[in-house]
Amino acid sequence: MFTVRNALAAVAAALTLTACDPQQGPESQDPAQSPSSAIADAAQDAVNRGSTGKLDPLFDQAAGEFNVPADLLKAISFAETRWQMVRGEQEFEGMPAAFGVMALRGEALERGAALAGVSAEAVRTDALANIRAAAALLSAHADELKVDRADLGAWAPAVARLSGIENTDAQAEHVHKGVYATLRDGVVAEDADGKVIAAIMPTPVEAKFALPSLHALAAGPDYAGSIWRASPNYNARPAGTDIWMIVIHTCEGNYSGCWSWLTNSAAGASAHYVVNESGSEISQLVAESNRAWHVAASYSCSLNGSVNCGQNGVSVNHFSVGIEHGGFASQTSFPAGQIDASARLSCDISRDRGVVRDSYHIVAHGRLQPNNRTDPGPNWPWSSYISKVQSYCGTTTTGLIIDSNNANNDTTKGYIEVSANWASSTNVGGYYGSGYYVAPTQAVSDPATFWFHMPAAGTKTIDAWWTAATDRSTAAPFIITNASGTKLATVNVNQQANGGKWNALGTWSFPAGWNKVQVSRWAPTGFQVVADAVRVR
Amino acid sequence: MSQGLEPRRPWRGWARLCAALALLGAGCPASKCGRGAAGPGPLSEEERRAIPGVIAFISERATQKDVWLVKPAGEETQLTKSPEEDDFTSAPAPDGKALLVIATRTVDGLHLEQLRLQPLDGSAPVPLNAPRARARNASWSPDGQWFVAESDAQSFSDLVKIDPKAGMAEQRLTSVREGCFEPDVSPDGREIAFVSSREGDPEIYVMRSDGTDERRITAFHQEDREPRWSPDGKWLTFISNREGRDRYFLVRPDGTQLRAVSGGATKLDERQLVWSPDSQKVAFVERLSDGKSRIWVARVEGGEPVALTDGKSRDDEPAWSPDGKYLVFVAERNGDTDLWLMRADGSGQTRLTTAKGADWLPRWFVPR
Repeated sequence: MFTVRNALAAVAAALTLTACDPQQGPESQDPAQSPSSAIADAAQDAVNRGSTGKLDPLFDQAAGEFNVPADLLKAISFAETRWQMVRGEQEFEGMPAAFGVMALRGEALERGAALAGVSAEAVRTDALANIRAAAALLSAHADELKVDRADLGAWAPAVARLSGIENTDAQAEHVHKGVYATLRDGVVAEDADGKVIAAIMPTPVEAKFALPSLHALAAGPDYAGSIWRASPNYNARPAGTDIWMIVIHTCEGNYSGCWSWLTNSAAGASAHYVVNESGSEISQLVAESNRAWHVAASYSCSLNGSVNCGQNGVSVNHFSVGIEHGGFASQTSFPAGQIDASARLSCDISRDRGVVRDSYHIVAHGRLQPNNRTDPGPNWPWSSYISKVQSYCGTTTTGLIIDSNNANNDTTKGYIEVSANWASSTNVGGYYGSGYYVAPTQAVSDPATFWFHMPAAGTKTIDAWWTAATDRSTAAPFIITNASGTKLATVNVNQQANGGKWNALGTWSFPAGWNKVQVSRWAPTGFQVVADAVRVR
Repeated sequence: MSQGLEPRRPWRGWARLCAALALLGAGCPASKCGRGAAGPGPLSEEERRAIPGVIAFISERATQKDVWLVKPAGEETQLTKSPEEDDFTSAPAPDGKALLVIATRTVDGLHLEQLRLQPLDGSAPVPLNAPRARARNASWSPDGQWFVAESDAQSFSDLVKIDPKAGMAEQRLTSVREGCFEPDVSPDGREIAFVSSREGDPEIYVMRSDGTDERRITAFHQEDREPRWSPDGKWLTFISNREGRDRYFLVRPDGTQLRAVSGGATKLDERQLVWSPDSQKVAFVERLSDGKSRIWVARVEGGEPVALTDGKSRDDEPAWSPDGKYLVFVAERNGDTDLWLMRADGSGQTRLTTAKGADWLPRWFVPR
C-alpha cells in the first residue's frame, strides 16, 4: 500500500521534521485546502497497490540511459496510471490494451521494446522494462521532433506523440492538465512505512504546446457539471424505449485519450459520459436521449452506416446510459474524488431518467455477462458507490429512518436507546430491518428512545412502524420531544393493527439538534408495546 | 403468520451466551485456518475416487468459455463445444441427465444470451428461448418439469416459467416495471422466492409458483438480494448491505427469526453463499483486501463460523458435494485460476484442474 501527497507540503514537512510521521504532517490536516490536492486526493486510493516497489530508481535509470528528463517520465506515468503496474484489457475495438506503469499499448509497446532491446512480454510485465521502453520511445520522438533536451517545456510535442492521442484538443488536455500540471504541482508516493516510492518535486514549467481550444467548454446538454464533447458515434434509441440502466465502464487508459477516442468516428464506440481520474472533470459525448455505443458496440455497427445497430434484437445500448472512467479495471482501488464525481453524475441521470438506484440498475460492464469471474468488478467500490448515489439523490424512501437495530443506523444521524427490560425480537414477521424491541406495559418510565438529529430547524412528519399481534397494546404511547426537552405530543396507537407498514403519528416543528420519539411502556397493563422503526420526513 | 405472544425469554442472555462461546474459541483463529490446519493433504487418489458426483464448470483454456465436466478423481471431459460462443454453467436438471447452460455471443454488436438444455451424453443442446440481451438465473422445480428464470423478452426484467423443451412458450409470472430478479424455487416446488425493486430498493418476496399470493419478506431501505431456500425449505438466506457491508442473513419463510449468518466473525463483504445438502450449514466467501478472499462455513443452529481457507489467496465460489462431505472451490493460487477440492472441515486442499486458463463457476451434482 502507498499513499500520495502533495509534494510542496511533503517538502515543508521534511524541512521542519527530519523524521516526521506522515500522519502528523501539515498536509494531512486539511488536504482540501491544498491547491494541488485534487491530484493527490485522486491518487490517494488509486495507488494503494501492495506489490509496487520503489519506482524512483527505475525512472532515474531509464532517464539516464535514454537521455530523457526523469521527472517527465514520472509525470507521464502518473498521468497515465497513477504509478500502478496495470494489466490493461481491450475496452474498445481498435484500441489495444495498455500495460505497465507507462500504459504502453499496441505498436508503440512493440517499438519501445525493440528500441530498449527487451521482449514485448517483459514490457508488459516488468516495471523496469516498461519504463525503459517508454523512455526509449520518448527519446526517439524527441529526435524526430528535434526537441531541445535541456528545455523541459520543449518536450511537450514528444509527450503528445507518446500518448498516442490523435485529437489535438485531447493532446493539449493531456499535456497541459495531465503531465505538465503534475510537474508543476509535484507529487509524492510513500509506502506504509513512509518510504518514498516515487516523487516529483514541483517545477515551474509550462509546456510549449498549443493550449486546448476554448470552443469545447460548453456544458453537456444533460449535465451542467460536464463539458460537451460531442461524439458522432450514436444513433436514436428505438421509439418508446425507457432508460433502465446505468452501465459503469473503465476506459483502460487515461481520460484525455478516452474521450478523444470515443469522439473519433473511426472508433465506432462511445459512451454518454467520461469521468476523469481525479473527478475534477466530466465530458458528455452523447445526449442521454440518444443511444450511445458503449456495450458491445463494434466496428460492424458503424461500418454499416449505423443503420443496423440494434435493429435485430434487444441491445443493452437501447435502454442504458454508459459512463466511462479514466483508469483501469485492474486498479486495486479507485480515487475517492472520481467515485464521488461519478456518483453525483449517476444520481443526476437516475433522477432525470427514472432509473432505480440499486445494484440491478446501476451495473458494471462485466455484470452484463451472465457471470463474471470478477463480478461485480474486483475493485470498483460497489456498495459504497450505490450508497453514495443514494445519499446524493435519496432513496425512494424519503426522510431519515431510525431502526431498532443500531447496526442498521448511521448513528451520527439517528439511533435507538433502550433499557435491558426491552427484549429484541423477531418473533412476529413484518418488522422493519432486522427485528424489533418489545416490552410489557407497566406504569413505569422506561421508554425506548429513537433519537434523530436535525441539522437545521424544520417541520417534519413522524411515522412509526411496528409488528401487529393480539398481545399488543391498543394504546401504545409515542411521546414526541424536541431538542430543548419540550414535550410536543403523546400519540397513542393500536399496535394490534396496521403492522408491517409506516403509520403517520403527526407533524411537528423541531429545532436543530437531537430530538426524540419515545415508545412508552406506561399503558394499561397486560399487553406488549413494540419499538421497531421511526421515520422522519 | 404467527400472531403468537412475545416470548418472555430475555434476548440479552442468549446474546451473552453467543458472545461467551465466541470468546471460548468456537471458530478458527485466522493464523491456523485452511492450508495451515489442513492436516495431511492433498487428498489421496483412493479418497478422491470415493467422492460422489461430477462437477460442471467453465473453462477458459480455449479462447472462448466452454463448459467442462470433471470427476473428483480428476477425469475431465468437454461438454459444450461452440467456438463462436461463451458458455456459462447454470443449474443442473433434477433428473441428473442434463445441465442448463447460458450461451452468449455477439451478433452485429449485440450481446445475446440463450438458455439451453445440454444433455450430459454430449448430444446437441436444446435451445429454450430466442437469443436476447439477458436470460439468466434459472431455478428448477424439484420434479424437473419446469424452471423459472429472468427474462427481458417483454420488459426490463421479469420472471418467467419455462418448460425445458424446444419451442415452448414462456409463462410470465411477474409484471413489475422496476424489475424482478434472482428467482429460487422452494424445495417442494410450491413457492418462488425472488427480488423486486418495486419499492425503490431491492426487497425479498415469496409467491406461489403460479405467480399469485405474493408476500413480502424483508423491509429495509437498502439492498436485500439473492434469496436462497435451504434444501429442507425451513429457511431462506439473503444478502443485505443494511449494516454498511454485504452480509448474509437467515430468515424463516414467514419473515420471522431474522439474524446474521456470520455472527461477529467476518468484517468485510460476504458473497456466494451455498447451502449444505443437509440444511445444517452454509458456506460463503468473505472478500478480503488486495483481491483476496476466504471461505467460511457457518452452522445454521448458531455459533461462530469456521474459516476453511486461510485468506492468503483468492478462494471463491464454493459448492458442496452431494453427500455434503466435501467442497469444491475456485482458487487463484500459483498464478492460475483452478478448481480445488477440500473436506468440509477445510482439510485436504487439493488442486483438481490444472489446465492453463481459468476454470471456475463449479456446479456439483449426481449424473444419472
